[in-house]
Amino acid sequence: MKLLLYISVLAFFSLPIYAGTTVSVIYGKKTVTLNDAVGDNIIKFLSTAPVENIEGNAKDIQGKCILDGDNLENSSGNISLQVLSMKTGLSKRDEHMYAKDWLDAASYPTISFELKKLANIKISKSENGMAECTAIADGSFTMHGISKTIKATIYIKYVNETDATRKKAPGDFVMIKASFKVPLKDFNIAGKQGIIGSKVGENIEITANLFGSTK
Amino acid sequence: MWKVLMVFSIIGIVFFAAWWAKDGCQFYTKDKIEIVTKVKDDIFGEEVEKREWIDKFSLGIFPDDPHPIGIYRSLLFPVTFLSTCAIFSLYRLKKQS
Repeated sequence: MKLLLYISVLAFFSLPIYAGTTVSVIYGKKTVTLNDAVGDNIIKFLSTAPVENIEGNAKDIQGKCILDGDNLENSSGNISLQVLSMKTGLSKRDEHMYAKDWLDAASYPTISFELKKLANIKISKSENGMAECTAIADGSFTMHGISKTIKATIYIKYVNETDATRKKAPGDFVMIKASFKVPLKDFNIAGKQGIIGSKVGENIEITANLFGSTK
Repeated sequence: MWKVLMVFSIIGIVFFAAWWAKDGCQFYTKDKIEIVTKVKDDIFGEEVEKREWIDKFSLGIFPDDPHPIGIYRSLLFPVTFLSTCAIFSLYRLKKQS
């Protein structure tokens, strides 16, 4: 009897530990599809090297994610971009970037991130049809045919459908900002000898501004 | 005549250096520039970016094309040529006097 009581007490106090983060504005599981009508989807990259900083972006981005309003940690998704949509402002350099020594766009035409879960969720606002939170996105980043686990810092803003949102697109709106670093060495990208570390940074900083809707 | 060539060479060097500075003191010449527009999004209640590449030449120290035929698309080419002209003019002027 005593043992049963202990287990009940332990179970009662353990419950809040295992319960997921609830966001009242997100009703249940919502599938968010990236939508340029909501905002300009863009992934920026920055290489910092002694000779030159190279800044570029990619705009051909597709993806979906599932936000679980009852357990935000349980969110998942997949975002991918076309390597050939990556631009740096210098066409010849872009051609080199797509070539076999670097990203090898012919063999690996896409770069993707598969969201597996969210952690360290901090909700800063969840009222009046709008929710804001920051989190760590834990997922698998695939580039140059190699997948590695990467943690990205993300900021999510969720807006319920209103008359104003309907003018742009149907459904609830979501804005996601994410940032993380990609070490080229981990993805077996060596480039031409001596370039990485002098003209191209060893780590590439990635910043994503993503916009989507639930319909 | 050598004095005029020297003056024009120096003016030319200053002109190309100013052009390079105006284009952002870049290491490599670029054939596209990025236009970044920040607009206030009333739905999200914050500024959002719109980025667009447009075809526009911007001068860098080195050419955008590693092929030797593309060398003229750089600051290096006119500055080297004009410096040579200025030095040669100075040499001829000194020889004349």
